[in-house]
Amino acid sequence: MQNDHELIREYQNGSKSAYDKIVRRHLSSTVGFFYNITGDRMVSEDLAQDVFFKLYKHLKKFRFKSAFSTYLYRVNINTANSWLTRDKWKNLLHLDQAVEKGEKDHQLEGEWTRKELWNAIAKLPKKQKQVVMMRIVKELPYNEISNITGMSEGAAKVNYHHAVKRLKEQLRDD
Amino acid sequence: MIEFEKELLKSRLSNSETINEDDFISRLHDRVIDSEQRERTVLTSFLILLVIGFSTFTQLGVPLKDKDIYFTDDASGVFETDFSYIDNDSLSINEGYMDDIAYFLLQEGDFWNTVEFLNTLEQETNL
Repeated sequence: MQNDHELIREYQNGSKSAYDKIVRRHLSSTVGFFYNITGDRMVSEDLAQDVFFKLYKHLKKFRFKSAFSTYLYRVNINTANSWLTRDKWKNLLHLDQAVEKGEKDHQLEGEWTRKELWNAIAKLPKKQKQVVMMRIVKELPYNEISNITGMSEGAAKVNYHHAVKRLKEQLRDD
Repeated sequence: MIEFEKELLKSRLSNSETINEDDFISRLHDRVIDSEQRERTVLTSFLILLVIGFSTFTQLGVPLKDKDIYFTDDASGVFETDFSYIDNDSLSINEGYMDDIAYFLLQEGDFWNTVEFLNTLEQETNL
């Protein structure tokens, strides 16, 4: 079976079926990543579409300096970040008045919901938000977070620590 | 803090639903085609605008020379010739032309006008 880099090389040489193979290989994990953040299946697929649409253009210039999975995480994190920012503004403007149903409304420890958690995460500073997303959603180790975000392992740990402290305060206050 | 982190990790959802990959890829292809088409349209429109803009720019302020050659607003001279207003200078410049006019008047049977014309010419020459 061809690895990601081989498929990307094929795609760069004009094979569109190679790109389809890349999509099939990473689709489930990408949608899963967004599903953990949004809690909505349709929104997750739309965000995954955005990711693979961006990749369709950018992979032509991929320089094989990092693993494709690292590159994909980076795009996922940026897309999620934009979505959280958009969603935060939507909440502030009270545009989504509909009651969230299903798993999103499931109470965690009887104190806060997933929706509240991700609203709180959306308010975190960008770096803290990135680290928390990778830790909570993917349980990535700090060295991998460091690779993806470009910050040092120590900085990743500190950001995570501050983020968790802040989330705890925010969620307990609500 | 550790307890709280555990709670955070518990908030993860399992993505148990299967995704219709073919449908997803087909929608992705449609989106790519749409985007490429839009890019092409924008580029073509831009090029057309550029060509029109350039042509307009190069034609701005260019005088219409054809107008001087083929068209005149003053139609009075076409229908009526008032010989008393013929420019003196032009008489002296081209005598052959005046002879032609006299000959033409004669041929038209306008004898008295011809005489008057020749008299005028003679007076002008004497002056």
